[in-house]
Parts: sequence; C-alpha cells; structure tokens
Amino acid sequence: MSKISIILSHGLRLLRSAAFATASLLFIGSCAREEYREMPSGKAESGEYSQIGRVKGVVVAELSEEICAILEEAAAKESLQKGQAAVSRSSAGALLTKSAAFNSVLEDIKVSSWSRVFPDAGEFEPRTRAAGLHRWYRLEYPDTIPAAKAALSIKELPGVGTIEAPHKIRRTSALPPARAVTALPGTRTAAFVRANPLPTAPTAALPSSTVAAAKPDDPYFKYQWDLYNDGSRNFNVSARANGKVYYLSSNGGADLNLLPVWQKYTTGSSSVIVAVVDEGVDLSHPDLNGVVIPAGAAGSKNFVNSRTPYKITSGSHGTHVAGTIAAVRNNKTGVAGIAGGDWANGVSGVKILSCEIFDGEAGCTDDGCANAIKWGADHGALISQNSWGNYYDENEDGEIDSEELEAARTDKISTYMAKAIDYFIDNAGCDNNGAQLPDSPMKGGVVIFAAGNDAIQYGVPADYEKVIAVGATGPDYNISWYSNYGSWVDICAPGGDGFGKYEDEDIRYSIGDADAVGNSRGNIYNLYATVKGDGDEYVNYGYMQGTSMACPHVSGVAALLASYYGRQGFTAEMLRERLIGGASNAHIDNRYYIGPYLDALGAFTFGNTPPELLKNFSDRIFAVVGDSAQIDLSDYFYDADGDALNYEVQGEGAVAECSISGNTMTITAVGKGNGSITVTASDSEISISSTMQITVKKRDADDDEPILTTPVAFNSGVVKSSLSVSTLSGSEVRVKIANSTGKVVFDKSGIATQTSPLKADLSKCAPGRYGVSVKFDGKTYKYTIVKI
Amino acid sequence: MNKRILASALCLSLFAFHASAAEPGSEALPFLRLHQNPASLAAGAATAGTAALLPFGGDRLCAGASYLSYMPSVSKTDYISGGISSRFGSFGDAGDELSRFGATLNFTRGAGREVYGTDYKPSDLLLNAGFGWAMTRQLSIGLNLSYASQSLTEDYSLKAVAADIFLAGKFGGFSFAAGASSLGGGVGSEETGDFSLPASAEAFFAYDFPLAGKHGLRASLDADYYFSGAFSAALGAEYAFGDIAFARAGYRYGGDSIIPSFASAGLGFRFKGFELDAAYLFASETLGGSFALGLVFHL
Repeated sequence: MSKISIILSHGLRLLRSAAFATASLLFIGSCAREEYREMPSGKAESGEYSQIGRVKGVVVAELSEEICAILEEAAAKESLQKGQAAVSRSSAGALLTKSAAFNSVLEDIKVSSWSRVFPDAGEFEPRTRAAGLHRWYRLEYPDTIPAAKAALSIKELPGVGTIEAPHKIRRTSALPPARAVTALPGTRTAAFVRANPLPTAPTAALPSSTVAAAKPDDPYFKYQWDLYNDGSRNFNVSARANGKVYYLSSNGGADLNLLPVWQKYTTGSSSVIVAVVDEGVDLSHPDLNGVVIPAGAAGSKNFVNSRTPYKITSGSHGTHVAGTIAAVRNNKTGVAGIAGGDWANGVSGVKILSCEIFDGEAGCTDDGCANAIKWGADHGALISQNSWGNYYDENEDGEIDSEELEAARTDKISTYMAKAIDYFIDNAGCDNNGAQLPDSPMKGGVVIFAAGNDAIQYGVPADYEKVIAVGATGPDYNISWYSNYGSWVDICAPGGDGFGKYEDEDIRYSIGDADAVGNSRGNIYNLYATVKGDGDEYVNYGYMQGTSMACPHVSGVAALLASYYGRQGFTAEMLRERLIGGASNAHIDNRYYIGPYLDALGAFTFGNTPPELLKNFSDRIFAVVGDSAQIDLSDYFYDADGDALNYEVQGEGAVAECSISGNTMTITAVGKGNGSITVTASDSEISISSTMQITVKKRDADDDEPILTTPVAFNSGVVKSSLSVSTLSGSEVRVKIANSTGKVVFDKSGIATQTSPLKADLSKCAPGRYGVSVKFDGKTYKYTIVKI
Repeated sequence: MNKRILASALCLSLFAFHASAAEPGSEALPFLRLHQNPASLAAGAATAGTAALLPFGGDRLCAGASYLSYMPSVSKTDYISGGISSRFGSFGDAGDELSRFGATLNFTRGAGREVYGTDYKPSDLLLNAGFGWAMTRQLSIGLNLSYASQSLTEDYSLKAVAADIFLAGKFGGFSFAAGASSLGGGVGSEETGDFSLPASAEAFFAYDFPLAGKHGLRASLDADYYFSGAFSAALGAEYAFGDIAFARAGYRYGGDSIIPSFASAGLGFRFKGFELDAAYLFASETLGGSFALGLVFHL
C-alpha cells in the first residue's frame, strides 16, 4: 500500500472517530427535522445531554410518514401471518420491511426488534396520528454497539426527525439509606427549630361541629396528619446526623386544610378517573375495594410486560400513591383517601386507572412511561399522577456525584415524553375532534409529577413547563430533607420528613404499632396510607416519604376540584389555576424554592365564589288559571363576587309558565293541577338550583272538581265506552289497556293532565275486566277497570 | 249411520246458535279459551280441550287441581281449577288403550284485583262437562258444554253457555281433533250492543315419536280460526322419561285473537300415581311472568 493511501486510510479512520464523538455529544443535533423547543426560565429545553441515566441498546426515533407507512404494513402482515409461514427477518431477528434503507439500518446496528412507542390506539388512532405519535419507533440493538453509531445509522434514513436514547427512571419515594441522613444544608439546625416552633394548620382552629361533620370514621385517619392536623400531635423527637442534633419541638404541624372541603364541597366523584402511572395498584386491597378499574383493554394495564399486559403486579409504592388519592373514606376501614368519597352515605370516590411501569426491580424506560401516560388519556383519565422521574445515580451508590449532578443539570425531557404529556393535556376528557365528551367532567387533562428526591435543583420530566411539579415538605411546612427544588417546582405538599438513623429499609409496620414504631423510627413524620400485602404477613398500611407521596396529595385535591366543578365547559386550565392560585405562602420558607403550599380549601375558594342559595322556594298556590305572581330572584340567589347570574327555568308547561326579566320572575298559572318548576342560577362556572311546587286549584271560577292528588286518576273504574286518564306528570305518559286474557286493546302515549286527560275509546271492546298500566317518569302504575 | 246423521245435525244447529262475530280480539268472556292445565300451558297450550279424545287412552280415572297466576305484570288474576275425568266401557278386543266412552267435569274460579275507585273484586266462573263417544276404533265424537259467568260489579255480571263439538281420531302414534270451540250466544251491552263468544274452528294434531327405552317425545300443533277473523296457532313439545319426569316447551302465536302470543316452558314429575306440573309463560308483552302449578292423581 502506498504512503498516500495509508495516510488517507488513517485520515478516514480519524474522520469516522470524530464523527462518532460528535454524534455522541450532539445526539439530536443538526439532523433533526423537528427539534423540540420549550419555553421560559426555570423550564427545560431539549438539546445536548449526557449518557448518564440513558438506556444502552435502545434508541427511539421519529421516522418519516413514508417509512412509517411501510413499517405499519410490515407489522400488519406479520400479525396476520402469525403462526403460519415464517416472515422475513434480519440477521438479528428484526422484522424486515419493504424499505431498503430501513432494512439497512436493521442490519447495520443488528436491531433485534422494532416497534411503535405508541401502539395503534383503535378508536383514538386518528388523534394519535394527528399528534404525530405514530411516527415514534423504538429499536433494540446489542448494547455493545455505541449509541452514537446507532444514531448515525438511523440518521441516514430519509425524513428522520429526533433520535434519542430513552431515560432510565426510578420511583421518587425516599427509602431511607443504610446510613445517617443528611438534611439539606441550613434548612433545619437545632437553633432554627428552637427559634421556630411548629406552626399549626388552619384546621387546628376549626369548630368542633365542623370537625365532627367532616372527620371520617376510618380508624387510621388519626395517623394521617397530612390530611388533618388538629395541632395536638407531638412531633417532639430528636435525631443525630453528621454530628448534629436535629429535632422538631412542640405540638402543631401542617395539613392540607382538607376538612372544610369535605364538609362544604365534595369528597370525590366516581366520574373522575386518576391515572396512577407507577407500580401496579393492589386491586384486592380492602381499602381500595371498587376503586381501581380492573385490568383489560378498557382499563388498567401493565406496561412492563408486553406478554401479559392485563396482569397487574401490585407494589407498595403504587398502592400507597393510589390510597393517598382514593382509599375508600368513611368506611370504618384503614385510611381515608383525599377523594375517597363517603362510603357511609353512599358516595363513591374517584376511580384509579393503574398504569403499571414498575414491577419489582424491573420497569419501563421513559418511552414505556410515555405510552402509559397516553393510555390514561385514551381511557377516561383526567389527571395523570406520576411519582417517578429520570435517574442519575449511575453508579448506584446512593449519592449524586459531580458527574451525575452535571448529567442532571443538562438533562432534558425526551421529546416523545413531552409529546405524550401534551397529548394527555390536550385530549383527556375529549373526543377525537377535541370536543369535551358529554359525560366528562373536564375538557383536557392535568399531568402532575413528583419533583424528585436527590435534594438537587433539577428534576426531569417534572421540570417540563406543562406539568405540575410537586416538592415535598414535612409537618413543619419546611422542605423535606430529600426534596428537589428550584423555580420550576410549582407547588409543595406533605411528602414526609422522617429523618434519623435507620437500621433497615423495612417501611411497613403492623397495624396498631404505627405510633410507637413511628416515634422510634421517625416515621411519625411520614405519610400513612395503603400498601401492598407482603405475602407472609398481610400488612395493609404503612409509612412512606418522598416527593412520590407529596405528588398524590396534589392529584387528590385536583380530583376533588374536578369532582365538584366538573361540568361541560370546565377546563384543565381552570383546575390548574385553582390548584396553584389557591395554594398558600404562609409558613413557607423558600430558601430552597418548592412553591406555595397545597391548600385544599384555598383551591375551592380561589377566584370565583360560587353563587349561593339564600333560601329555597316555598310552595305556591294559585286559586285559578290565569293568576300570576312575581318573585325577586335575588331574595333566593346571591353571588358574593357580584357576578351577574344567569337564570334558567325547567318544568314549565303543565300548570305554570314563567318569564324572567333581570332578577324578576313572573309565574302564570296556565293549567289546573299540581306541578313544579326548577330555577337554576349560574355564574361563569357554577350552577345552583331550587325547585318550587305549584298548585293551581281551579280551571275557572265555576270549576268545583277537586285537584288531582294521586299520580294517576281515571274518570271511573266502571266505564261504558271510554276511559279518561289524568296524571300529575306534565310530560308524555304511556297508557296500555289489556283484556282479562292479556290482549292489548289500547296502547298510546301522550299528555295526560287533569286539564287535558288522555282518552281511551273502549266502545269496540266487549264488556269485561281490563287491566290498565300507566307509565311515566320511570314508574308504572297498574289498575283494574271493568267495562259494562 | 243414523247416529252419524244425528251428530252432524247437532253440529250444524250449534253453529246456527252461535251469535254473530265481534271484531278480532274483542270477544266477550275470553277466559273461555284460557287453558288452566299446567301441562298443556307449558306446551304452548297446543291442545284441544275436547272430550272427544278421552276414549283413546290415558287414565281410566284422574282427578286434579291447579293454580294459575295470570298476567301479573298488568292486572293479575288468580285462577283455581279442579276436575275429574274418566274413560269407561270396553271396545271389544281393543285392549285397555281404547274405551267406548269418556267423560269429564271441570270447574274454574278466577279472582281479579279491586276495580279502581271501588273495593269490589271482579271474578270469573267456568263450569264444564264433556262427553266423548268412540264411534269406531279410530274415530270419536265429543261434546263439551260450558257455563261461563263473569261478575264485574255488585250489580252487573255476564253469563253465557258455550259448546265445543269435535271429531277426533287416533291412528297409531298420530292423534287429531277438529271441530268448533265456544259456540254459543253472545253477551249484550246497553250502549255498545252484543259481543260474541270467542268461537273458533279448531284443528289439533299430535304425534308420539317411537323412541327406544324409557324416552318419550310428543309434538303437538293446534290452530284456531276465530269467527271474528283472527287466527292463532300453537306448537308444543313434551319429552318424557320413563313416565316419571316431563319437560315441556311451546309457543303460541296469538295474532289478533283474544289470547296474545307467548312462549312457555314447564316441568312435571310423577310418582306413585301423583303428578306435579309447573308451567311458566314468557316472551309476552302482557303475559310474561304468568305461572301455573297443578297436582293430578292418576288411577
């Protein structure tokens, strides 16, 4: 070989190495046709990132429409041919296609499988494709092949967009490490806590009548200081860490200000679904009975194991999160969920859609999580609850070193993850055309993320602007020892702050030992909720701490808001505005910024004050048809904000008609009998109604016939040629008459009031016995008459 | 021969006696056509209740009672019925399966619910006597006479006498009957005139399938052409195991006739001469939920 050729060959190798190096630094870079850009300060942009926390041997790419069509055709063909003749596969086992370019990639990086990140969504496929989600594909290849090489190979495909390696993720529960805990510097020194006794929650000052009306009978509600803290709880425990003594003194402590919401507004509604993207939720837990939507094509799903997608493997983390939101409330069992309804009074709480992304040590990467978030939008969820985030502890030593911290600092949300979140926010509660579904309480969805537990200023995907990022506090309103922080954190909530030295990582304790054990291990500061039974000894409840636990508090209050305010026209933006706007800055020490403190009552009283019913209508009697009366509606309905109220009347026609001018309603008697009207007053968000019973005594001055008081009346039970049927209903009734052997001789629907009875002609019927059924307003009344 | 001429003359006279027909489905005293026997109700009431079939086998003597809860979804009537039937007189060397004569006596009483606006409960009464005569080994003639009364108020009731006359036959496993039912004078109403009884020309066919062992299967078909212009037909089947257990099902198409369409099913058990039968009616706008229970003693 000549010298020139040797130089050239070396030069070419150098160039290729440089190309690989460049690609490893600029993974998305210049080849992207659609780079993801995001907005303002404190929020993430896509761009460069580190390999730390990325999965090896997997790449996610946004392919062109043309290539996608070819891949879909190949996948459909393989599906049809399953079990029959072998399909064509690459040397590594991936399905071959009609695209030579794509097949070349498969061979080049030895792809073993490829699949859509967001599979065909059936009835929701049109909007899936409109959002471009069908273009995202996951390719698996040997992890011995550098990621940069994989990127370069895929970059050759015509029309390819973003190429990314998925993130590893982890749960954001702060399991205590097997060593002393270090609190965030400066947050809680001995001097600080001595100078700052525990503030109390607003609910500590509630009158006993309010507490009695709202406090549920769940036996372990007493351990849920996060939901109700009457100020009598003693958090006086000391702990030694790193040579310093940390302790909280005096009684007191924070809570969500939740009891007034339970008393005055709502305890939750089964029309609201919260998607818990987490470990599987324990469907058989006694305090989650009927709460979790069963697994199936229309319900909960396992995203970890594609072979058994409808077999949920439950875990304590997911069960704890779900129980915080929706454990059945007031059922004399276990704990109370924030939106767990009122079992004793027949009110079902919100429902949980379990979207499993963890199974023990195994779990999805963030592309699987993105699919799980989207699944929630396509299966009725309005709130997506996510207590997990990207993982930076690459060497798994329990600490974030400088290199890992730098990876966290430069980390960005995956583009497909952002698109999945956007999809949820835009499409939850809507049909394929983006219109709010008739039975959906809300248009659009809310995505809530835990901020993370590394005590750093970064957290992905929680820092994505469109999600609500939740930091964690202890019972003293202060940031928890582990919570991530920064201007990107939107709100904080109780996450637990159990610091101290732990001998082991067992977080579950026997029922009845919670207080004693909690005191000794610091769990008293943590959050008590449902957990998965551990097999040998079934333990249903336990303490956990973490931004994982703070996050479902926000989801729970969001679920309450959707339960109460939910109606046609109520949007996710309105819910978010109440949640964040109603949060409290009292007591918050934001040296490490985690946003205002979640305030449930504040969320309900924020901004618009709903109209109030001052008094119900009294029954009104009119002497004769034609009489009228005027009513000042402002004596009955009041809006504290001064909003002009819009009035609507229902039930007119049978006995009365109404007209409204300003606040004055004129009622005119138009028919003899008994009836009712319902007046609804609405401001821009809320409606409130009252019903008036109306009696009109006479058709005219000479009318002596008594008013109908029973649901149905006939002119007589012994008839000669016809039967007249009168009812109290102003709406259509159905009258059916059958002879004594069952033959129907009359069957007609129509209005049947005392003023205008429905007549049945029986002149052509033989004398004899007849059965009459009259059906209206969902009820059927049966009678016997005779014709002579 | 003279006897046959006499029989024919009797039939014709009864036809002449029958009042002019009402509109379809509007005949008076419709309970005349209501089957009370749970065994026949369960098979779609695909049977002809004529004494003409009595000489051709069955029990020498049987007595029974039944309860029928009728039309509970509209205006329930409770019927109690009882009766006795017998075949007697030998037919030469025809063996035990054929008698010369058959006779039956039956009564039915029905009670409805209080009439609206009163506390009076209307009631039905039906008394029936029948006689059958086997003219030959295969053919017989039968006559049933019924007295029907329906009390509607304390002061008002309807009364009528009706006759059924049939020619019946049995050839091996095949039975038939043809004739007229409920012939008689109508009832009147001051305001709306006379209404006829639910008379009809009726035909009945049944076949006993020759099955091996202890199994028995009978299929039956019954059709009525009412003189009012309505038509109805019923198809029924009965499976018997060892003359101990019976399963029955049937369907009646009511058309415009006085008894609407319905489907039925039922069971029967016989032990030491006693038979317990049950029937349930469904797939009917008005008759769904009706059921009957009966106890019969066979000798």
